[in-house]
Amino acid sequence: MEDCETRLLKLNAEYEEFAYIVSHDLKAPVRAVNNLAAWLEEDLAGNLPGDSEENFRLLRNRVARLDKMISALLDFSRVARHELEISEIDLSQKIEVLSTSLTTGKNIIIRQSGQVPVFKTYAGKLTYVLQELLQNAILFNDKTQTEILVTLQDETDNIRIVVEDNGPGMAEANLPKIFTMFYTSAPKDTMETTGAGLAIVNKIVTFAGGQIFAENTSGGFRVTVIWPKI
Amino acid sequence: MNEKLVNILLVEDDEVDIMNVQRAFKKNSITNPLFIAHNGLEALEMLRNQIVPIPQIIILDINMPQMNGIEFLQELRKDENLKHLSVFVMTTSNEDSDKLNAYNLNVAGYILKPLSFEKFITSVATLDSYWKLCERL
Repeated sequence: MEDCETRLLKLNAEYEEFAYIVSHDLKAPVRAVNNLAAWLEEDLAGNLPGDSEENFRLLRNRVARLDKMISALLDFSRVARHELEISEIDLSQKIEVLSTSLTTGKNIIIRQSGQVPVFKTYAGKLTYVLQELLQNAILFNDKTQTEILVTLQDETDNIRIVVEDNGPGMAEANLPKIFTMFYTSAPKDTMETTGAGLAIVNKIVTFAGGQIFAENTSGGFRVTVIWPKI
Repeated sequence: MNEKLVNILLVEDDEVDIMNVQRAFKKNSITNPLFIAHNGLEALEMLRNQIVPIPQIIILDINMPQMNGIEFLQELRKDENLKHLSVFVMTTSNEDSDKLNAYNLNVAGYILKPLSFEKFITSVATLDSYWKLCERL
């Protein structure tokens, strides 16, 4: 009879093998296709009909997308296994730093309201969640001036983080899908997103024992994260 | 100055990746002799039987059938005649464990194979400036 520990070790080994396959074995042929296409294009430069040039562009774009999707799959599989360090996080300061890096040189305002004490948690994971939510609010915004409000609230056992934007929101019918892996409302040609971000965020929040929900507001979109204190 | 071009041995099993290195060499106008082994075993045999002139530099893929890159490095470091060779590890993997394994075996550098060929050309240019230094020593 196998005991729990042996089974756990086995599962871990299986996972490591899976991660290895994803990062090496799947990525290698993708890179080969990308290289071969680039070389064909380079060697035929000047002799390609317009249609073929456009097809090469599409080929490169889709291969790059596939590469990103493989990386995202790897990130998704790593949620429960990587970055498990517990450390202190100062949310206001973290949001400030993220805001600066995301808004520099762009017409974007990120405001903060509310204060929560510094607390111990999966700081790396929570940072990823914040970054992803802010990035999404920026990426899908259709206004000349993007406005985002992050509200922090200290509850007894949880920290409530609300990210509201003035973007177009989401068709109500599609709301249930937004936490699904690779679901995106952006056109497939867009390279910035493969639709993995919110799926990974959802997995992280669930892993941490929290909750996440999204809704349309009168002037935009709102995502609420309930993140447990340890 | 009397410069002698250093010999380079590429240990790589993927034909397209071999072409990748050859094209990057061409793009950077690198004319160093480039020898190719398709796995770790073949590379060791080529080195030990001096089928190739002893290269000063080895570019090593990690993920190969028939003795992978890490196993090849372990063998190389155990061999009195070969353990001094400079090895650059080249792989798709961004896994920390692979990096640590490689660094523990005393490698000169670690090159991540990027998706884009342009980025790879830049990496190879960096390598080139390193072995140009070796040629002057």
